[in-house]
Amino acid sequence: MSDYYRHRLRQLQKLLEPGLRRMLFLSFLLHLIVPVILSGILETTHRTPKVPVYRVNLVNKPVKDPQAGRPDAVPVKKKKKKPVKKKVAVKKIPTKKSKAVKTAPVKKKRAPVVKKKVPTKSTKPDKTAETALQKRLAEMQAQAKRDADMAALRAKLAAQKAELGKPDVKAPVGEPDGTGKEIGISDVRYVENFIKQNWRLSQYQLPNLDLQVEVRVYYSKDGKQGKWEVVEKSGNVFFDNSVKNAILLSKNLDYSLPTAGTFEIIFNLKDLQKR
Amino acid sequence: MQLKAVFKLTVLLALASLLTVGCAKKPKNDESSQVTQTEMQQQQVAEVSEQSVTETGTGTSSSSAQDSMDKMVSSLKRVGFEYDQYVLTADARETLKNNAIYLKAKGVRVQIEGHCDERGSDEYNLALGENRALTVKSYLVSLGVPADRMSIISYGEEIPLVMANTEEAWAQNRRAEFKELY
Amino acid sequence: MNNLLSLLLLVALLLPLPAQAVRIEISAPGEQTIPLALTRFLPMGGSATDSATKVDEVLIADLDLSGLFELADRAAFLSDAEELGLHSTKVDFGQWRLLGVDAVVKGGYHIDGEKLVVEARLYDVVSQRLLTGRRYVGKVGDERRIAHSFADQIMLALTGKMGPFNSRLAYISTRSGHKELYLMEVDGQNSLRLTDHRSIVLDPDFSPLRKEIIYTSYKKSNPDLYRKEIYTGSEARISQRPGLNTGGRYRSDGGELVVTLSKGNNSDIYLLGTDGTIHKRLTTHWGIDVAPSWSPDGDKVAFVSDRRGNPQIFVVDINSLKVERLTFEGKYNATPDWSPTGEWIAFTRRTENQFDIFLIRPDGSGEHRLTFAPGTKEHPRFSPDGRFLVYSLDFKREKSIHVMRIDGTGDRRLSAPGGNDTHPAWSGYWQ
Repeated sequence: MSDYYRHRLRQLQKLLEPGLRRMLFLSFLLHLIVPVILSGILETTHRTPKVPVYRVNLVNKPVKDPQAGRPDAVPVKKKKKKPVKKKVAVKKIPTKKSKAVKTAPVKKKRAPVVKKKVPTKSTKPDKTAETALQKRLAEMQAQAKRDADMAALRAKLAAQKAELGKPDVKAPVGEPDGTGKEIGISDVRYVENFIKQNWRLSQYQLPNLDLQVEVRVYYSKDGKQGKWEVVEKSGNVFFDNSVKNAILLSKNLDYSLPTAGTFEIIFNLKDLQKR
Repeated sequence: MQLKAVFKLTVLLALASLLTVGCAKKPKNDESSQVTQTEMQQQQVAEVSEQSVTETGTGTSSSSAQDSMDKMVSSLKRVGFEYDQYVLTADARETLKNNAIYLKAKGVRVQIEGHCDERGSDEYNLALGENRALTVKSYLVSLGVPADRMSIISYGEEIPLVMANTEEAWAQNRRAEFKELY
Repeated sequence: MNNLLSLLLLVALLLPLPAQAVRIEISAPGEQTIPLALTRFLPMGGSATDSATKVDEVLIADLDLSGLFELADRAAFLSDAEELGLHSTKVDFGQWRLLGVDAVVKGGYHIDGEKLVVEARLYDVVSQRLLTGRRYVGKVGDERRIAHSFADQIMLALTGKMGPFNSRLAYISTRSGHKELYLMEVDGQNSLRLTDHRSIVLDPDFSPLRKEIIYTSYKKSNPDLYRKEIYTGSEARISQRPGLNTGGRYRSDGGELVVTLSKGNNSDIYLLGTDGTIHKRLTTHWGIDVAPSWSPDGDKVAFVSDRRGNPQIFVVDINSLKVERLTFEGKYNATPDWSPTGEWIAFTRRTENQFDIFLIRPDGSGEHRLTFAPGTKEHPRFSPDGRFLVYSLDFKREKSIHVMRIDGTGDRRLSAPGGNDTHPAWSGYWQ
């Protein structure tokens, strides 16, 4: 039986042309590359930036308070401002006190030694010395208490800091789909906002808000509008016209796209209907 | 089905009879218990009133006639109401009893005006004023004032007595007034 | 070999490229107003007068009230603003596009003795075409009417529905010492007293067809229903039943009236012919039924009733006479007015210590409050296009007529100071 297989193998080897093996190997390698490219591993590993950068909406009008509406921003802001002030105040005292914390016990140890020495040297000024000692003792106790309070405060601050570490408050608000790891402007968002800005429509023009228009627009790589067509009309002349005007006003995006391409843009009034 | 209908009817009738009893009893009671009293007053007032009628009929130049007129008019007092209500209060009933005596004695035709405070819609207040005038009229009828001597009109919130935005002003404006017709 | 390799590479490169187009959804317009340039009307030969200023003032006020436009700053206008441009080929649309406006209004006027000719144009800047063009021929002094008419035309061209600016408002004022009926333009100008009853006149309503007004008056010592022809001044008492003859409202075709009659007993809602004869009794209830208002198709009537203890809005079907309760919130709801579009019913509700205007859909949904300012607001009435509401405000013991958009924005006072003005009613389109 094994002879039979050996025979078959030899027969097969005979069949293999000298280049075929190399080609099979290459083919295997190339096939390996395809899923790698498709999965995007190369891309992400290559582009991952060291510092998080957030997408910023460059088309929309500047907003007064970019943090407004962020659920975590408002309370955090308040929290943050106060601790910062505390920090400054705290820092001055603790820097001395942190030393004091360490030195205090030493002093305490020394103090009794002095205590013992003092009475041996002079017994007459006992009372004054004792009162001075008591004063010092009281001071030291107060100091210890303050140190303990400071330690508690510091622990609190640390806890707050840890809490603050979760949302990065300094980060500007980006696009809703942003993960905080993208660089620059989202091309799709740019196109969306550019056309949206050119779309002017008053609710007074419409009998109802349940309208939708779909438009297909081609943009070249340098952001120039090519052919466009209305895929689906709304049936309302004024709504359709407003969309047409928006497309006509968006002839030049003033922005270079990574690739030329067709955009299917759906215009509707879902945000207005929510009222 | 029929039984049910009969049952319903009887219940309704019973309720209706209760209502009529509830509505009519009070004035009737008042009448029977105070019949003598009212008659006494009636006679007293009647003398004065007769005079004034003749005086006004001949001329209003004399000052004594003018005075008696004022007394007469003042004896027809306005009655007040609660907010958004046209039910007579105890005070209103007392006032109306006196008014009824006057009216029966004098035998004049009178117009009852219903008024409201300015709060609320004008149209609703017109109807409310009318209901106030109507309850006053029906109470006076129950006291024996002939219905054909009284007419009603509603002015809603159009003619306030006091022009102010206070609770007291509103209370004064919610009223039924009497205007003698000659 | 090399060929094969490059081919494979090509395939590998092409595969991850998206084959279909990028889909983008835009779910609200960037601007909810239309940027519009309104140029001053220019003299077409002849002498320059203040006609342009008058037209200008009215157009600015009307377009502002419409809430549809954002008027471009005139300081930024370029040379084309000084050109007549009564034809689209003569307008330099590039200039207007540079200013970022979507539409431009141009016009001219010519005065020949007493004759006034006004040409007015509205152009779409983006598509560079004429949207509407009008020539008005009138007398000197007609500038305001002409401007109101063109404002209505602008609204028609851009929304498909005429504006209400050339219609009229009726209202009750005490300026003469008594409550009398007055008429004014929609912007509060040119008021005119119509009655001299020296009594109490209340609650006017316009006939949708003729230039007639019905109202209630105490002229003959009872609240009777009157009808007056506005221009001839002839007046008729059409319902004089004892008790209330109030709240008369014309059906949208003018064929019948709905009215509150009490017949000296209890107030109910009745259908009357325009001659005052009773056609049908709509409500039969011991409670107070007042303030009826027609639905636009004339098959239902909203009214106020206290049949459930306190005043609430109810709707009665005039064929089946079935009554349904509309409002459930609040303890005092009154004066319903059904929008001519059928979409909303406006009414007043007692909030804390005042009345405010609310809207509710005829099916009882979508109830919301429109007014929040201090003072009691009463008598809301829709404009004939259903886009505006006029009402009376009682603030600091002065009553005045106000107008606002039906979303509660754009509120402004119409009636002149120094007079208690109430009970506004909006006429139909005023041809």
